[in-house]
Amino acid sequence: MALWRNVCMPILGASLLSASIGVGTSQAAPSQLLILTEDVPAGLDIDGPSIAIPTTQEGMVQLLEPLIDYTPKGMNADGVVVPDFSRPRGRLLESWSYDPATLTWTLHLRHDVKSCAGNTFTADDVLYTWARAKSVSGAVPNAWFLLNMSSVANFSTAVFDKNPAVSGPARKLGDEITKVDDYTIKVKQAQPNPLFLVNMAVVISQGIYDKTDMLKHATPSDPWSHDYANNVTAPSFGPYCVSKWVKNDEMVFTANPNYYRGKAAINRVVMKRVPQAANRLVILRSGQAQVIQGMTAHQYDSLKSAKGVTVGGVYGNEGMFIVMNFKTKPFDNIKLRQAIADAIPYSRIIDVGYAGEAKQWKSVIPTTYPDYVASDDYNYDPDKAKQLLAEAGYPGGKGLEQYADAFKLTYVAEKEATLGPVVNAIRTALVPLGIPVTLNPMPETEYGDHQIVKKDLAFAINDQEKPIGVDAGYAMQLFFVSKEAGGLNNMENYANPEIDALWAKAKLETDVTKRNAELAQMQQILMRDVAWLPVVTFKTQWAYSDKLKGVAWVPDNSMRFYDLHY
Amino acid sequence: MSQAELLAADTGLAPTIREPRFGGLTIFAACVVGIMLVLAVIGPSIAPYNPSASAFAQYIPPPAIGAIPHLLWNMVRGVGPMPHWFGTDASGFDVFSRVISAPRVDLVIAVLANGFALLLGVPIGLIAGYFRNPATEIMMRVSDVVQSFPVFISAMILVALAGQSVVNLVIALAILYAPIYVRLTRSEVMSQKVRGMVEASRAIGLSEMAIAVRHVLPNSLGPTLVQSSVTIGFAILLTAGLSFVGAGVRPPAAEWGLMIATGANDMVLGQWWASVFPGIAISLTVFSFAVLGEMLERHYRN
Repeated sequence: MALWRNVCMPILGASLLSASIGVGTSQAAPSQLLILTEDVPAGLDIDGPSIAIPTTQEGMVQLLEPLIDYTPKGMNADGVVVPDFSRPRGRLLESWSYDPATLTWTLHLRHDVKSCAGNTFTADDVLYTWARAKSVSGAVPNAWFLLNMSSVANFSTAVFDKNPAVSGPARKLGDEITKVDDYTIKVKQAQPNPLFLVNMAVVISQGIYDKTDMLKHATPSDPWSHDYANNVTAPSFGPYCVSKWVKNDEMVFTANPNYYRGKAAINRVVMKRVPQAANRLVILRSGQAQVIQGMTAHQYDSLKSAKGVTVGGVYGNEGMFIVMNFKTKPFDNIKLRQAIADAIPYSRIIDVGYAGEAKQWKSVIPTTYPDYVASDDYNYDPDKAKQLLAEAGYPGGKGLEQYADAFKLTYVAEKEATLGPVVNAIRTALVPLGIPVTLNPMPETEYGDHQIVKKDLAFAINDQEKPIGVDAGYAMQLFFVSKEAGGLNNMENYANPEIDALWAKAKLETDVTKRNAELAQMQQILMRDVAWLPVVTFKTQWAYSDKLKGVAWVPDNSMRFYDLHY
Repeated sequence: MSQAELLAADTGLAPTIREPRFGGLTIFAACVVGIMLVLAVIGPSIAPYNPSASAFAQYIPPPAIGAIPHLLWNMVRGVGPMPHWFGTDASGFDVFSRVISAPRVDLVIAVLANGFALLLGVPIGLIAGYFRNPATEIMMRVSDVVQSFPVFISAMILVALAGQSVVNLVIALAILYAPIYVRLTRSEVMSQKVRGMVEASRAIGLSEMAIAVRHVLPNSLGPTLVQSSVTIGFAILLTAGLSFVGAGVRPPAAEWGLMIATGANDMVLGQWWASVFPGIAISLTVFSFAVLGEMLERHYRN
């Protein structure tokens, strides 16, 4: 075994990498970094079709500069820097103020900021970015959604009206956002809404474009330069610039020499696609790569004892939950949902699926977010599950056989290595109770279509949805508020007037104590109804060279190359 | 003196066709195939653990060789839990139970696919060989087109189009293997139809269809049946290959290819057993079917 680990694996790793990218066996220079990922960005446009793909987001966050982010709180036990969500700090903003009487934010912009193209940052860049968001001209109205969620005046659903006479004017920026001078902007809200600042930190939706460079690449058929932003680069004021991009193969980033916080310590970063997790692991161990991600918990666990490798992680906002669709019988039966919640072997899943690097998740909100409220409603209790099953009208599972199709537990086939042990543990626990679970691995693209577009996944496992905006209300509007009330990704078709009404109230609540109470009540209702069945919250992890320092976690789960140094 | 030796004596040449010999290898292959057929019937019933239920004890390695006698003795006495002879995998499945249960899936798919391919290919080959006309030529060209695509890729496409299920897998394999039987049968029928027995049958007034079915077909089936043995082996390999890439049998079914795919990720961690044991099972089975096919072919040629 030792021979295999110490001799064969490094040789195999060197061969794999040399064969795949044609590099020699020398270590990376101190100013370079090679990160191996499942894929490279498919596009870079904020409103582009691949915005939901994690590796796409990872590429975007290196280029786009946000208005604000969060002050680092310090390192956790793994040596990963974590943010303090109570202390937002300016990035492209120097300062900001809010006038509750007029519901107006005044944003003071940073001076002497230059883009990769050398253009100076001004208020025009912010206005251009938000005008582009309001045009909803991209494949997905991602930037518009967050401004709408922030209650920015006139960012209403009128932009989608089928009547061009309504949608046309609604898509143009009006006096809701005005330029006072080159470094001051005023933003009016339709209602008081504390989500404005939270949403400004979501860089994959609210990163600011370099207007001059974007306009240079606009065409009559594409006035907002979606093609350029999606397929060439996302021109912005961030720490890195794209110097090479071969889709499905690699993306090379070079440090922005003009970056206002100082040029990045690592000048060149190569993001290389190595689809097989085992190959990524071998190459890292051989010393040819400095960072890998997307491994199974057991692979990370095995790397903890590897020489020259550090495994760092954080309980951030990632969780695994079960979706039971309210529009599919018998999942409209709350007692049945509760029975299943009590039949899940949580601790066994933590051991089998996550090598112990997970905790039972007791809410639908990430455990690290402010306003998270834990519920002790559900624990592994097969006797209680049997009793609830009987109360639901299915004693011993009798009668459920007619819903065999509904009990096909769907999961992303590409995640077999990670989710396979989890779904097998769930099936093994549910079948003896008479719940006729079968497994249904599905290709990721098909799964995404059923989840987001068709919303017809009857019974599914999901470990990729997380709210990037650090707020319980943000999460609940995104996932649980009904479509009619502004919900966007309500994959379980949950519609509860009580939740909609509470959110409508909490969204505009300026009294923090009252708002927190309303958000807590919403979480309790969602847990009672098992709107999602949260199973575990797990560590977001990376494995990297022990010479690499500065690894930090942010809510979009993408590593920031700027923070890294040797 | 055998036929081959008589030929050698007449011509003075060394015999190029050897008599079939039922040596050790053939007996070994026959035993393996026999065991696999038995396991296909009773494998899941004699498995020590449920092959599709997690034991919640993952990555248990197989017992050390030195510990095996002790474990066997305990097993005979009924002491302690049943050992995991081949270890357990990432999901906590008992690898031994899955390896001995898998023939039910793999062999059933392979045998059924081969059977349907025979049912489809032999009649077409008979018609194409006996009644040669533009229509049968078109049939042959269609068969050529099917054969011209790589089998693995074609199987993936067919399964993707029809949907991933065991039934569709059997149909896809049958469609892809049928042209082999079409060509084999046609070629044999063409050599049989010029023989005297055909003329004699015509002389006694039998119809052409009756001659083809009653006399030509039975005499043309030899190579086809020999090919069956090889095709079943390849069908097992193809089923496993499709499952390996996620286009075959669905988890958590006990199937060799699927087991290899599931265990492959853990090979680099030194956890070899989840992949290696099903790999050995596939290799032995396919090899044994190939040896039997070779043996039958020699037998037929003599």
